Amino acid sequence: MTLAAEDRPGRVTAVRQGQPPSSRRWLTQSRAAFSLICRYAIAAAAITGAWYVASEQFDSPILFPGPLKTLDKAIELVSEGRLQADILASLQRIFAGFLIGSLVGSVIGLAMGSFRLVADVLQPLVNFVRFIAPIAWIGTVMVWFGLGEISKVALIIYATVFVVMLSAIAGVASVHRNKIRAAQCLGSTPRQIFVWVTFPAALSFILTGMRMAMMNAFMTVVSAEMIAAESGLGYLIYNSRQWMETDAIFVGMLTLGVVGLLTDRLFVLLTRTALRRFSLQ
Amino acid sequence: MNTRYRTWTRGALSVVATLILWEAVARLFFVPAVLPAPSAIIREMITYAATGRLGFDVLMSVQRVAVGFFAGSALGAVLGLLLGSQTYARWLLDPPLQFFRFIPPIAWLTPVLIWFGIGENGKYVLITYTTTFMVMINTYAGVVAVQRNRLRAARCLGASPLQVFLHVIVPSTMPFILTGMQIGMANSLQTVIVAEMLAANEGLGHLIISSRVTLATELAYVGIFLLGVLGLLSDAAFRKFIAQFAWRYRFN
Repeated sequence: MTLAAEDRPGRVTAVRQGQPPSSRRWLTQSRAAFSLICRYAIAAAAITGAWYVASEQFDSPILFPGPLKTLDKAIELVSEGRLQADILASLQRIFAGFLIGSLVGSVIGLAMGSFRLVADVLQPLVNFVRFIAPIAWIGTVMVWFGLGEISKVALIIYATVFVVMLSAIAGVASVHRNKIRAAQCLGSTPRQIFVWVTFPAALSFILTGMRMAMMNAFMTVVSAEMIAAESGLGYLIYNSRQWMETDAIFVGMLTLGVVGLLTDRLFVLLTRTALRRFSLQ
Repeated sequence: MNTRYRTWTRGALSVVATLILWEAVARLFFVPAVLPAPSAIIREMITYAATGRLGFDVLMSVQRVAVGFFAGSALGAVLGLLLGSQTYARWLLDPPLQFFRFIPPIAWLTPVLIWFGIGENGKYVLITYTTTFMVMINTYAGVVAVQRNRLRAARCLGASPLQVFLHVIVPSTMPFILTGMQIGMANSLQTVIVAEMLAANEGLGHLIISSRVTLATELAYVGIFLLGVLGLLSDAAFRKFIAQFAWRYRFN
């Protein structure tokens, strides 16, 4: 449901009102983009200002560094190459786990949605296990898969699978019965119905689920890196604590926000262009 | 009726089969440190519960989540309603909200501990933030999604802005608030576990991570199992609550 926050009122009305002729559409669109950029700029300026004032009031650069000190630290971390390395480490883990998890989750979810037997057998197990926070398995995956990358990727797979699985089940359940009946009337085999009716209809749900799962993956990777890793943004955030480098913590957090936002935008862009037919709404 | 019976038997069979398979695999192929058998986990749970520590751990985790969850839900719903219904606030606050959405609450752990202390307050603040953010962002989305015609209808019938807010916006946002609370609860459980793993001497997270250090793998599984039970129970309780008192506000 968090995704609903996405539908910015301003943008929707801008597109729907009046529908200008195609020659002028770019004008409307660039105007909307310009207004969006302005809003981001104003908001960023306001928050940075508030942050500056608050840190000045707090008057302890070590406990609460201001924007300038954080920027200095960011430049330092970038010139040392540490920040890039940490971003890359986190992103690699997320992408590997996210892709495998989405694939596994949608396969299981589609199977559960399509076959009663599979649903009956897996439902009670899934309904229990999905309530266990991914990070609780950290010790277990390290015993099973070692201290390296595989254990972190395994955790992210786990964090992704259940979200995607549940949306795939919901997607199959949401297929309009008349569409299936129509296909049946036209002589489709069950397999054809799955490939041409159920799967395309469920895909939009799966994509929405993947988008939510991405946030879960970020949450899990940061926790896992805080507890057990030698690299990554979570490691940067937690390890800086030992040296009281609060400014590095702030750099890590802001980077997380930026990287997360960009990843999400990229996912939306990809689904809107490459999989336009299947995106919701 | 028949299908229901079949679903139930199949489910029960699958749970029993999984447990037997797990028990057999654990006994035949693995040492307890890698994969303890369910029977060993249950035995460990009983002995540890008898010392009273287990109850204490569960209680501490539940208390942290409960305080943060209720405070956060109230705060998040109020903030979301206010921000959502003010056009300018909405216009300005949407970009930063989108940004902060991607900073996992647990990333705030160190700043929160520095600002609010390493005691209970720090954990309360962290869980409150987790829930507040989820509830707020959903409430906000709900206010934006109120059907424009309903607002127009209320205004046509002469409702004042306050009346529109109380009788149209708040009720139609309720389903979103409840969904936000549900997600917030799940997120809070995740956050509290990590917070307890990193900065606490009691609670389920601490139990899980400290058992790993002492290689008491069975105890770690007891913690994981209880975490699942806790999540399941809280979700069931929440559903029950909605069905009982807030059925009007469910998504259909």
